[in-house]
Amino acid sequence: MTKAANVVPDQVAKVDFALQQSSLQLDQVVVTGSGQATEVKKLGNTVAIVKPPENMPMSDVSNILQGREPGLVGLPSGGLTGEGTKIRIRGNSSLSQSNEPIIFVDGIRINAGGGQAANGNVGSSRLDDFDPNSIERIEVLKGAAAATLYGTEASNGVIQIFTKRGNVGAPRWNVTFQQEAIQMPDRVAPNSFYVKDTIVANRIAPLLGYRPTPFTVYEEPLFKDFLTETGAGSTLSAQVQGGSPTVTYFLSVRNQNEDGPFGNASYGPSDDVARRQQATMNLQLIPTSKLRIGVRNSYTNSFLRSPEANNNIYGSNSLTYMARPEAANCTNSSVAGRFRCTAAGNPFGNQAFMTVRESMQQLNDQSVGRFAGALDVQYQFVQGLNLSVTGGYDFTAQRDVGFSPFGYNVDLFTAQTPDGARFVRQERQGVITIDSKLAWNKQINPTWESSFVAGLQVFNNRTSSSTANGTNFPGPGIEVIGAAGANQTVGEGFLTTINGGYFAQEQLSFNDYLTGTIGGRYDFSSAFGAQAGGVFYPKVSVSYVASDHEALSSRFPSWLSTLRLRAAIGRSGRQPGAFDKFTTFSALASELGAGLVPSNLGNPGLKPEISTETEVGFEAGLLDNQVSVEFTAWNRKVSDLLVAQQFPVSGGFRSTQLNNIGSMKANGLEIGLRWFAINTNRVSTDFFVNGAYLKQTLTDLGGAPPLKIGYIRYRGFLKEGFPLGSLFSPRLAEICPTGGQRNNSAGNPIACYNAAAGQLPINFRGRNVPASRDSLLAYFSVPRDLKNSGVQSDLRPLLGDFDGNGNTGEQFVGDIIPDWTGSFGFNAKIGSNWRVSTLFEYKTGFFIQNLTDGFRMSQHPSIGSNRREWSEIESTLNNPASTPEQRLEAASKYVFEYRRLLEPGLNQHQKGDFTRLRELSLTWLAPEGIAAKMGAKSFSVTASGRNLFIWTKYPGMDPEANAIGRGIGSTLDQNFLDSVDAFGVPIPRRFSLAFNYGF
Amino acid sequence: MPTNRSIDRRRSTIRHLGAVALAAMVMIPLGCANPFDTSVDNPNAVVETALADAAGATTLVNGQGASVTRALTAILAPYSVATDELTWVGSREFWKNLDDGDVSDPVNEYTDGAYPFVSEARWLSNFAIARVTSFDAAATLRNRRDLARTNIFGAIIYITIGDMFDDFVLASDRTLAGAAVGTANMPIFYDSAIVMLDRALPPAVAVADIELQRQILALRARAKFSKAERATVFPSRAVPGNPLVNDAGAVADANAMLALGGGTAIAWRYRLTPTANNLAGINIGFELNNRGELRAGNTFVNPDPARPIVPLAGLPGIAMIDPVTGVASTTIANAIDACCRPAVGNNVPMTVASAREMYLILAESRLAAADNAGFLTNINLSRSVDGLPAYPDATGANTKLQYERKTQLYLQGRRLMDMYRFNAADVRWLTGNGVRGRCLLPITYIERLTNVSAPQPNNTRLCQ
Repeated sequence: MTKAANVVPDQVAKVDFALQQSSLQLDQVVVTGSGQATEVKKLGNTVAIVKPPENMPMSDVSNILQGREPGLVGLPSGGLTGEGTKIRIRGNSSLSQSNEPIIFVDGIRINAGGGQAANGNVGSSRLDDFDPNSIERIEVLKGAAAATLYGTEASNGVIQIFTKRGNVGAPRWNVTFQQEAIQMPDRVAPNSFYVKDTIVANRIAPLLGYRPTPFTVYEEPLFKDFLTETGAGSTLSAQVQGGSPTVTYFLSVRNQNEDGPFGNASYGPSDDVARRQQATMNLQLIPTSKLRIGVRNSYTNSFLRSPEANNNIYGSNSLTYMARPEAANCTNSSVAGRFRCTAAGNPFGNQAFMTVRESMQQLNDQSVGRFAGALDVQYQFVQGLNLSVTGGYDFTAQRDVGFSPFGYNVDLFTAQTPDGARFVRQERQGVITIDSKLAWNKQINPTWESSFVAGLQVFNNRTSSSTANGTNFPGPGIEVIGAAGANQTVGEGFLTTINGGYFAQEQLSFNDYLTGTIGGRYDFSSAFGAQAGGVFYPKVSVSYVASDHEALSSRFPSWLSTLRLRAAIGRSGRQPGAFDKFTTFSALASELGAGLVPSNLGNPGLKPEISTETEVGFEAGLLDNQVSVEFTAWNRKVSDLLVAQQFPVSGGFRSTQLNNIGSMKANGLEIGLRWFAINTNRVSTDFFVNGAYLKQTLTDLGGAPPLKIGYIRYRGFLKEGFPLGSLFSPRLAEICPTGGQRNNSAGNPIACYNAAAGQLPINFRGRNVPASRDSLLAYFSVPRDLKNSGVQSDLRPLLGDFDGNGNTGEQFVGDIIPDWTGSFGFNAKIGSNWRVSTLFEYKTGFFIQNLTDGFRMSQHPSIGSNRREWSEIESTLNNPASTPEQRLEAASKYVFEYRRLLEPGLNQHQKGDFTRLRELSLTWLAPEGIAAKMGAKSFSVTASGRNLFIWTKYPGMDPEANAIGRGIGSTLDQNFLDSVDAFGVPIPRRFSLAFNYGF
Repeated sequence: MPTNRSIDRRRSTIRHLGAVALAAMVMIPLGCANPFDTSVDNPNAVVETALADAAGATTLVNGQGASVTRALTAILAPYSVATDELTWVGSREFWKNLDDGDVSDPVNEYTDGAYPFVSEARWLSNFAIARVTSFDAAATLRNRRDLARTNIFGAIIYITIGDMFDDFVLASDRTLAGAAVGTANMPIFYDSAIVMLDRALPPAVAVADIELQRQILALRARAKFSKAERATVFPSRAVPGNPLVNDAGAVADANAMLALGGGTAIAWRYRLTPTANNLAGINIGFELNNRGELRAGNTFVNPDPARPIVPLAGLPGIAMIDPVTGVASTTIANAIDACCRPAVGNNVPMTVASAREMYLILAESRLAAADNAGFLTNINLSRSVDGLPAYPDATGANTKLQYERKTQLYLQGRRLMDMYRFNAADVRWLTGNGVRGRCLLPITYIERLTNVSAPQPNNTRLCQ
C-alpha cells in the first residue's frame, strides 16, 4: 500500500493508513516445491498455505490440516483418544504404495507413518508427535505438478511444516492452559431384544430389573450406559521467543493429558488415554549478513493406551454392540444389579469369543520417544547467489505392547489364551536428510528477471523392528514374555531405503506479471537397484497476473480487482518397496528346525510408477479484493502403475508380486471462495466456502485380476474401468418393467418379479423363480426362525445380473471415496475483545459399508441381531400369535432390507453424506488494562467445541468412523479400506476452555 | 574501543568461520558415508541362488515339512467342518456354509484361504525333492535322511490333496499357469505319493532309520488304501454298492509296517504338530481353541450350556457312546482332549499315519473278504490302543467298522470320504449343497481368477 504525503522541513507530517484485509494474498512467499523462496504469484501450480487458527486450540497437527484446504482431506479413523488421521491430497495416485503425502518439518523428511497398536485395530499418526503450538505455517503441494522437485515418492503431494523461529525483541512469553471435556455422542443404537417364553423372561429379570413380556421388543443402551464416560483432557503449554539481530530463538514445551470417553474402571483397566510431552527449541543465528544458521530440535515423549476395538471380535465396544440381553446370565455367581454379576458371569449376554468384562482386562499400550533435529546453513556468496544446505535426522523409537494378564478370563468364558498373552513390538526408525541447493537470482534487465536453482536431496531411511510374543503365563502378576509357557516367538526385520536426486529449475519473469518455470529432477533409489538407471521427472508452469499487466487490467470491470491465470504440468513418482525386485525364500521355523519356503517371486525390472499431473486455474479478487475466488482444475494420469499382481498360487508362490502393468486416471476441481462481508474497525467478518471434486478411475490392470480390498465381508474392489474403491455386492431382482424382462449388457435377462401379482424377489427353496405370495403365506402359516439355517436357505434372495458380468454376487453399487469434500464457515471479530469462528466440513457422494448393522440387523445366530428394527421382524416371525400375513410382511422387510452377511454385501451399503460442525470457538480478549492487572500483556479466554453436531441421513453410527485405524492393515487396506463402519467408536464431541497469558 | 582494522579482522574471521562451517556441513556427511550409494542388503530373506548349495538341503526339507504342516493346519478346518466332526459356533458365515455342507463353493473364504497353502506345499515338495535328489545324485547330500524326508513330506501333501479335493492344479510353476488335472485324474496324486514313498524307502533302509521306514510304509499303505477308497465313490459320485476297500498293496504295506523292527508299538503314530511359527493365518487350532468359531460336532461332544463355544469339561463333555462299554468313548475323549479344548491352543497335533489306521485297513480288507475272524482280530487290536474292551463278535461288522473309523480317525481328514462311501450324512447338511452330491473341496477362486486354464467361471460351483 502506498500513500503520498507532503513533508515540510522541520515539521512533523502525519499520514493515516487504514489497513484493509485482503482475501487474496498472491504476494505471500513460499519455499516448498520451488527450490527457494518464491512469491505465490510466480508459481504456475497451487501451493496452499495453512496456518493454525488463531483462536481455536488445536490438540494435534492433524486437526490443523483437516478441512482447511480444498483437496486435502483428513480421514479420522475413529473416536477413541489417540486414533490417528489419514491424509489424502487429491485422492489416490497409487494402488499398492502409500497414498500419504510425504512430510517435511523445517526442511527435513520425517516419519509420518501410522502407529500400529499392539493387538487392537487402533492406530495413531506419527505426525501428531509434533507440537501444534510450535507451528507457524504449513505449505501444501497437492500433486505431481507442484511436487516434481521432490521426485520419487512425491506423487501424493508434499506437506512442509514450518516451526516458529522467534522474532527480534525482548523475550515474549505465552502460556496456555486448556481443559477439555469429551463426550461420546449418542449414536450407538441400544441393544434390543425380545424373549420367546417366560422361562427366559424369569431368568433375565433380575439382571434387567424388570420382567419382559414374551415377543415384546425392549431396548437397553449397553454401550452408552456401561462403556462410556465423560472424557477429560488438559494441556499446559508455554512458549518464549525473542532475540537480537544476530540470534533469535523460539522455545516451546507442552504437556497434554487426555482420558477419552471410552472406559469403565469397574469392568477393567482398558481405556483410551493419551499423554504427550513435547519440547521444541529453535535457534536462528545470523553471524554475518551473508550467513544464516538455523538449528531446530524437537523432542516428543508420548504414551497411548487403547482398548481392543474396531473390527475385532475381542473388542470391548464390538462385544457390547453384539451383546444380547436375552442371553445375559450370572451362571457362575449372583446378580449384583442391572447387567452386573457379583463375580464371573455373562451379564451382557455375549454368545461368542469373550465377554465385555474379559475384553476390558486387555491392554494395548504404545510408547514413543522421538527426536527431530535440523541444521540449515544459508550462505550468500554475492548478491543473488545463495547456497543453502540442510541436514537433519528424525529418529523414532516406538514400543507397542499388547497384554492380557494371567486369568483375564474373569467370566470364565473366553477360550482365547485364558492364561494370558503378551506381544511386544519395538521399532526404531531413523531418517537422514541431506538437502543442498544453490540459487542464483538475477535481474537481467528492467523487464526480465531470472531465478535459477539447482541442488540435490538424499533421504536415508533405516528401520529395524523386533517382535516377541508368548502365551500362557504361570501365574498372576507376571508380565514378561520369557515367562510364557507357550507360543513364544520372536522376529526381527530390517529395512533400508535410500532415495535421492538432483534437481534444477529456471524461473523467468517478465515485468513481474508473467512467469514461466521449467525444471526437473533426476532420481535414484535403492529400490531400483544399484545398477539401475535413474528416473527423470520434468515440470513446466506458467503464471500470468493479468491484474498486474496494466494494458489488460485497465480494461477490467471495476469489480474485478485481481486476476491471475496459471497452468502447470509435472511429474513425480512412487517407488516400489526396497526388496520387491528379488526372488526370495523366507524363514519358516517349525518343530523340524529352521526351514525355508517361497516368499517373493521377484521382478528385476521394477521401476517407479509415474504420475503426470496437469492443472490450470485462476485466482480472482473482486470488490477491492474483499471477495476472492480460487479455482483449479486438475488431471492426473498414473502410468507404469505398480500392481500387486496375484499369480496362480499353484505356481508355488502365495504372495503377490509388484509389476508395472497398470494405469489409472483422475481429475478434479478445487474451488475456494472467501468474502470479507464486514470489514470495519469494530467488526469484521469473513465467510469462506470451499469444495473439491474428485473422480478416479482404474483404467488398466495390465491383465492382472481385480484386487479385493479386505476380507470377504468388505466389498471393495479395484477393477478395470471402475472408480477406485468400488463396491460390488449382490442386488435383488428388480420389479418387472412394463414390456417385460430387461436384458443386461451381455444380452441375458435380468431377473425380475411381478410385485403387482404379489411376487417377491425370494428364490424360495431354490426354485430360481420369484416366490408367489400364496406359497409364502403357506410357508408362514407356522412361526419361522430366521436364525435357522434351513429357513435362511428357504428364503434365499432372487438376485439379478444387472451388470452382465455373470456374477450376481458382484454387481456395481458405487464407491467409497467422496465425490465432493469441503468446508465452510466464518471468522468474526466483534469489537476489540470478541472473536468467533466456525468450521463446517462436508463430504458427499460416497457409500459406507455398514458392517456393524450388518450384524446388528441380520439373522446371525450368535452375535448381533439386536437393533429394534430387526428384533421386531424376528419376534413377529417367531410369535405363534402372529398371522401368516404379518409374518410375510416381516419376511418381506427381511429380504428387502435386512438379509445381510449370508450373501456378502447384500443390503450392506448406505450413503454416507454428512455435514459436521467441526469447530466452533468464542474468544474473549481481555482489555489491556485487565491483562495488565494480571501481570500480562495479553490475556484471553477461549471456549470452543469440536465435532459438536453432525447432519446425516446415514443410519449407522458415524460416517467418519472406519474399520481400521491409521497405519493398520496392509497398504491396500490403508489406501482403500475407507468408509467401513465396522464396530468402531463414533467421533466424540469436545468442549474446551483455554486460558492464554502473554507476557 | 576496537579500531576499524580490528573490526574488519573480526568480520573476516567470522566470514571464514562461516565458510568453514559450510564446507563442513557439506563434506562431513559425504565423507562419513556415500549418501548416493544405493546398494542395500536384505537380511530378512534368502535369495534363490543361495539354495543351490547342498549344505542347505536340510533347511530346504525342513521348510518343506513346515509348509506341509502349515497346509494341513489350514485345509483341515474347512474340510472337517463340512463333515460331522466339527460344527460352527462363531460369527463367520462361510464356516456356517461349510457346516451346512456347501463344500464346493470356490469363493468360500476358508477353502480359498487354505488353497494357497496347500498349493505352496505341493510346489515346494516338487522343488525340494528335485533339488535334494540332484544333490544326492551328485553325492553332495550330507545326510541321506533328507532324501527320505523330502519324499515323505511330498507324499503327505499329495495324499491330502487326493483325499480332500475334487480337482487340483498340478502343472503350474511360478508365473506359468498350468491346467487342472480333472476329477477323473485325481488318483495321480496317490500314484505320485506312492512313487515318492518308493524313492524314500531305500535311503531310509540304507541309514537303518526304522522310524523313517515306519512312516514310509504307513503312508504308502494309506496312499494305496485312499486311492482304492476314492475309487469307490469317484468318478460316479454314486453310493457304492460295495463301499469296502480291500487293496492288496495297502494290506502288504500295513503288515510290513506293523512288523517292522521287531514289531511296531500299537500306539505308534506319526504326527505333524505346528508351532507358533508355521500356522496358517486361518488354522484349525486357532478356530477351535482360540477364536472359537468351531467346536467338535454335536455327535461327538456335549457343549457347555453357559458357553456353547466349548464342550463341557471331562467325560460329561463327550457325547459319543462306545458300543461295547456303553459309556462315553474314551477314544473320542482322548481325541477331543488332544485337539478341541481351549487348553490345547493353536498347535493341534495332526496324525498323518498310525498303527491303529493300519489295523483298520487290515480289518476292512478282512471284512471285504468276508473273513469275520480276521476283521474281529484287527478291529479289536485297533480298539486296544485306547484300552477299550474287544467286540465279542463280528455282528454288524460294517457298522462296527464305520464307528471305529469315525472315532479312531477323528479329525484326521478321512471322514468325508467315509461318509460318502457309507452313505452317512450330517444333520446340518442342507438339501442342494455339495455334500449331497458327494463333492469334495474345489479349486478355489484365487486360482481360477489367476489361471485361465483352471475351471471357469471362477465363482461357480462345478459340483453340487
